[in-house]
Amino acid sequence: MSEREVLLSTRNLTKEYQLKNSFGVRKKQVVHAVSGVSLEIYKGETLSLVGESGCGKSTLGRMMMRLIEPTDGHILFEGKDITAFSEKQMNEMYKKIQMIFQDPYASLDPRMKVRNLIGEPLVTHRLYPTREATTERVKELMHMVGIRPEFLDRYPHQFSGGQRQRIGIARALALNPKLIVCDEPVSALDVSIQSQILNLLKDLQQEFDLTYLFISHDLGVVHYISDRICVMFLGKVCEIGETEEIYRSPMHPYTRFLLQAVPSMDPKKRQKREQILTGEIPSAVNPPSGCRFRTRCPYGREVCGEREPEMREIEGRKVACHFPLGL
Amino acid sequence: MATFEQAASLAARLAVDSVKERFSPEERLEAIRKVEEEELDYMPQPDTLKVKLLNMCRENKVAAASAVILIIMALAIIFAHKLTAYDPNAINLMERLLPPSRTHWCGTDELGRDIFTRILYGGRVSLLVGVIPTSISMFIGIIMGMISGYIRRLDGVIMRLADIVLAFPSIVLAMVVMYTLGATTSNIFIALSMVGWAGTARIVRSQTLSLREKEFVEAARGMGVKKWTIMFRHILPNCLPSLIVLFTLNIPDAILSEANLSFLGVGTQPPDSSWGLMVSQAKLFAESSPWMLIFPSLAILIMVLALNFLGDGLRDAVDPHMKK
Amino acid sequence: MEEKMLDIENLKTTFYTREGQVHAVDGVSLHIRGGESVGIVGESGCGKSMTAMSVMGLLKKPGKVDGGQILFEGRDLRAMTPVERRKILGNQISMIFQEPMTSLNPVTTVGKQVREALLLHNREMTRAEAKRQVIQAFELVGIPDASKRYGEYPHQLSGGLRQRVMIAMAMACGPRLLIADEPTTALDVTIEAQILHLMKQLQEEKGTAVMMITHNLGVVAQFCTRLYVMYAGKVMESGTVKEIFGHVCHPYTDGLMRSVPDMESRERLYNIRGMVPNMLHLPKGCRFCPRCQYSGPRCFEEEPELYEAAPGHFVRCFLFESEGRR
Repeated sequence: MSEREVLLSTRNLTKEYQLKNSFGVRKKQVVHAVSGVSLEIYKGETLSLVGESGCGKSTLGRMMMRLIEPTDGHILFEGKDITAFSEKQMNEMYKKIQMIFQDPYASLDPRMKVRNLIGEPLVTHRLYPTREATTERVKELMHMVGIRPEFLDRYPHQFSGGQRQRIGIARALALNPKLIVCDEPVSALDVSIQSQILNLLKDLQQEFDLTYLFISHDLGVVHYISDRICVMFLGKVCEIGETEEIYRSPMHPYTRFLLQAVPSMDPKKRQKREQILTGEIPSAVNPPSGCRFRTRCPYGREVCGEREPEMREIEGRKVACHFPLGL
Repeated sequence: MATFEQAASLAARLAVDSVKERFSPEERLEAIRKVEEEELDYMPQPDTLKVKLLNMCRENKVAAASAVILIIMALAIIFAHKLTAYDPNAINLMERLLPPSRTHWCGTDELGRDIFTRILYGGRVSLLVGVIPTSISMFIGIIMGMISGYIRRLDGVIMRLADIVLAFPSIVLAMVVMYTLGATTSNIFIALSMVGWAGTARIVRSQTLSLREKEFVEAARGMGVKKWTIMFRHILPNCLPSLIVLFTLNIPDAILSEANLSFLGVGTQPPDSSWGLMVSQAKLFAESSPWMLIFPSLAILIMVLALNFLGDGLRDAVDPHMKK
Repeated sequence: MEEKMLDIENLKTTFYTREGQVHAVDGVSLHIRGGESVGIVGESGCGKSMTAMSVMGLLKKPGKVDGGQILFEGRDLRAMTPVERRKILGNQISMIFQEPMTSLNPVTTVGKQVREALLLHNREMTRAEAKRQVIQAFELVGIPDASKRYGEYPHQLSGGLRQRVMIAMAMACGPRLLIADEPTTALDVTIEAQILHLMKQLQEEKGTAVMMITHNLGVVAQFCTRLYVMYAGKVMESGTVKEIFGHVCHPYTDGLMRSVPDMESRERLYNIRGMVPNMLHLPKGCRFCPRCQYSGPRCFEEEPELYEAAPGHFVRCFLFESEGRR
């Protein structure tokens, strides 16, 4: 695994928000959205960030694009530290990193035609000398994502959710990026449309040699699309590893509960369901001491509250737990 | 997985069962294409501004009537020289203070000038005062509001400036400007623009604040689009509907302010006329010749009311969320 | 076999919009027996929520129930006076929604809200008694520190707790039928599992029938005994969960099942081509025909009825015409 080329890596990436009271004065409370995340994304793979709401996966994805400025830590893209980049340098970087958003209704400017929506990145980076050449490229992109080129002059609200998401994908592809951050791209879509978009993303990845950072809470979708997954809980990474292995034998207790919680499509499996994770997700303002999962963890012992578990490497996987399962 | 086996079995079952009723692949595509073409005609059409306006006219009769009245008034004012044979400033002491009659529809004033004619010509000043300072103040307000909402560093400075402007009674501020600069029509524009921008700036700022959090703005940032481009390409067009409404609601304010200034003697100067000035001059004759007061006041009343009704109608049509 | 508790016959609900009529529910017939859990599955716009709203009388303008019967324990809800209907709705039939935040009043404590719901249907009950019962109900739905939570406002609770409060409110009057409209869609998986577990438990203890409206086939497979699959305002397939998940018949249901990525196989997902039809203009013939991989000339011309493919298993598809007719 180590000989594979790293496209992007993060070192100890952290985002904290200071809470303010209604007068705008800073309170002492701090929201720990993302706390010291280090991970690598290899070229050509799909790495999924999985976790429940509030675990910081979207914040992490946006930080990698510097749409949110990290409080601490570094992001290295192809070996260069982009955390220190100026706005101008970063704008150049956006040719290589692009994003697909969750909400196909909010992510397209309602007052722009498809022509301008998909053309915007092309015009911004002055990739084509003439308007005709830009339009040609837009048509080509529309064809690639399965939208009829005749719809060039339509507005977003004339399309269904799935088609809008295709437009969003075309826009992300326009600059021939290397990495695409997909922030819950299918969770707002119907089941039958979801599978169309997932297959489209897979086909595009093959065709253009793309790398995806795929953010999702849907474990079925993640299993289908990703090569490796990274499970997060309350701003911290629990476990990173190959998808198949993690699904077969999760090492972090949280991963295991997460996988068990998914309702299976097989009615015969109904009896087999084991424990259900009790309790609520703790607040990110006052995360539990030591291991952040310990308040919900049935295997927790004293040491879990005293010491934060370090990330350890076991059989090619990384786990942050004092007592990994299956050992 | 179980469902895959079943699916295969469905396919298998069907393949044996009902081949005779099937299409060839080309036939099916053709049939599907036909259905989809038909469906295209029923795709939701965009509610363009035109459609919204038509809907408004259909549903809100008061607003529609107001629009008609405004158009008639505007035409009458523009073609004043065609509608009346009198010179608005021609003094005719033989015919002073005549009540309304067939020759002088609205009577004459203390210098024998035809009031109807003076209302038409005075309307030119009032209309200009309504449109030009409103345009200038809104232009300033939009720029200030967008900057303040998007570039947060400047927010404090700009908004405090707006607070200062709004804290003064606007008529006093305008009077101060008029006294210092002198009472000419162009100075009225300057005075009214200076007091009017702050309200617009606040509204644009609050819209910008909510728009900048939208994913499409984030997407534009993630494409490497520059700040100023984002503001003018994405934020401004999305503020437009409420700005149109604001514009129609700001015009009557400006007309009234001009009337107030003229009434106080620091607005339009004689012999030129404006509606406010005519009311002001009529006050001495209010008892003996009430028509001098009534008709210019009516003109102001009708125009301001019509603009307000139209503005309300537009707001409901363009932005349904703002409906009361 | 127990008697039908809720029996909907040929229900039609139409929205009269400016653009035209939308037949959101177009002749739906379904029934729920006492103590049974029935799933209603479909994609957005298939009319599953509108069916529930029609039953509860919660349709908003321009929607209107145009036809059909809604029999609850043999009495037609549509023919009742508003007073009679109110006695049943909220008391014998109650509903929980997808987004608990929007159905709770943000400026009143959750305890008070549940108490008011309770008092509304039990006039003679004292406030203190009602409060005691609410706290009991909170404990029943697994809200920790029930008496403390009683005095909290909705925004102070997490999504999972809010949904528990909604369930407590819905269960407070001991309803015979609970209509759950996507109760877990807005929740995280681990919380979803908790809520489903809780609902199952309450159902078994109290014998409440549940109408589970969802787009998630997994939830149906785990929670329900029977299901109805809806598409563009019509029931496409109905039967027991065992039967349908074992021998799926309708091409739409089949496609839907194969479109869901699951956690065991990574084979390429099946795609149903095209998109959900425009409800303003439905295709002639079968509503699913332009997306169906088995459609023949007849499907484009004529609308199929429900045919009985196996005992109790109904399919709206010509492919199963020969197997019998309802």
